[in-house]
Amino acid sequence: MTTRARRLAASLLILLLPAAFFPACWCGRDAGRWFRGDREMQMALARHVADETLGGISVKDFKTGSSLFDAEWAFGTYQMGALGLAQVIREHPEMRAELLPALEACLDRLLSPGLAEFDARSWGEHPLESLDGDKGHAAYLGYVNLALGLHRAIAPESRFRDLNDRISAALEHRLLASPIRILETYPGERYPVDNCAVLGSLAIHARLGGRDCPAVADALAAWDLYVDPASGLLYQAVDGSGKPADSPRASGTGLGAFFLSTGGLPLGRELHAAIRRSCGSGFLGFGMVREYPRGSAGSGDIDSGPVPFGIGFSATGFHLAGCRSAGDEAGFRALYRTAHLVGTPLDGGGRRNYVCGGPIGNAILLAMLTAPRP
Amino acid sequence: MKRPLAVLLVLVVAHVAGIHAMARWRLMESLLAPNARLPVAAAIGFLLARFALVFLGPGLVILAARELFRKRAARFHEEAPSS
Repeated sequence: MTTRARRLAASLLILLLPAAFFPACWCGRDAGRWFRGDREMQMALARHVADETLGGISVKDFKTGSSLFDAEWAFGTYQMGALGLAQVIREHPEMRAELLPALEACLDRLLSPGLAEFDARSWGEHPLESLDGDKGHAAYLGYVNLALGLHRAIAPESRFRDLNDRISAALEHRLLASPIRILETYPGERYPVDNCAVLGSLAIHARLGGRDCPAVADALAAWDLYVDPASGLLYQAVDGSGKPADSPRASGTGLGAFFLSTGGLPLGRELHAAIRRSCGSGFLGFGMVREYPRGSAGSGDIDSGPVPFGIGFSATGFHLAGCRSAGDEAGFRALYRTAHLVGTPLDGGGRRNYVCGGPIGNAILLAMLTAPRP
Repeated sequence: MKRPLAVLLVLVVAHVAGIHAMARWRLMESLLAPNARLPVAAAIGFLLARFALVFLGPGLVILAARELFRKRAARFHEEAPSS
């Protein structure tokens, strides 16, 4: 080996060797604080999310190229913002006075005609003005009701209490009337993940009322139909007879597990374990979640985000909540490193902005990083 | 690796500029939305610069320090009076 070749080899070694340990240490330096529920850490992101939601985010702020997806993202920003803010208040009740106005602003926006329009247009009826009807509206009503339930848990005198009761009654009635115990999100479209939000919201409502919820017990008894026996993941979509209409995927399963855990339903932890078993992946200490179970592959879509090398953006982010809810600190640390690397936090003025996430990414991260611990 | 310090500086500048561009124009959404027309290339470019800085930055710092030390040693030998 010539001197030049030896020098080049030494330079490459120096260049690459620190990559084996330094990036994981650097990107994971906040992971422990997030896992333990450090107040300053949570408040920095909560303040940023509160600023963005109080500032007002509309459908026009998103440019996905699809008016339906733009509306869903605006809706998702407020829903995840509401869940995250409610979880921070639940973990740090002394922050209630500061965060409650932003949380209630999120709820007001979720209930506004502009954000319900995407659902109303698909169904031909407004979801809140047709609660006596029998159409599903699983996503809109389930997601809104989950946020209303969490708000009610921290503000029992809530002005949204009556609406929470009425939506819960409508969802219970519709679930019991459904032969396959699954509600439609849009006409002819059934997504187990949206029904997880329905179940989680009903479980919270029943718990706050100190009663059992037969609709939830009934639906969970039929839930095996919607879980892939090989991977343990939820099918992303099912047809009118309950048969799979899409593959089992980690993005839907991760979000569904979060909704179920929020409602205190044990199925959430089972789904978390299935994701870890079937889709868990990692590189140099950075945790990742495959969108499709090992041994199968597919493309990404609006739910999963891009799927480079089989790794799902959304699935990886959603699984943070599963790890925190299950008390899985090692898994949480590994996934947080990836979220930190890709999310790119920018701190200033007592606030933290994950600049790559935008408003919806920050709201989702707040909800996932503050998911209830066991 | 002849100019580790220059590479490091380019990465740092690209990264800092990229962070502010991402915060201002929310370029990442173009990656998450398959139909978006926002500049996907800029978002991917930023991510590549960030990954390069995080993964290769420490090695580049060590190489730059080594280069600096080597140059100083060479200058010292040149300036030292021959006996």
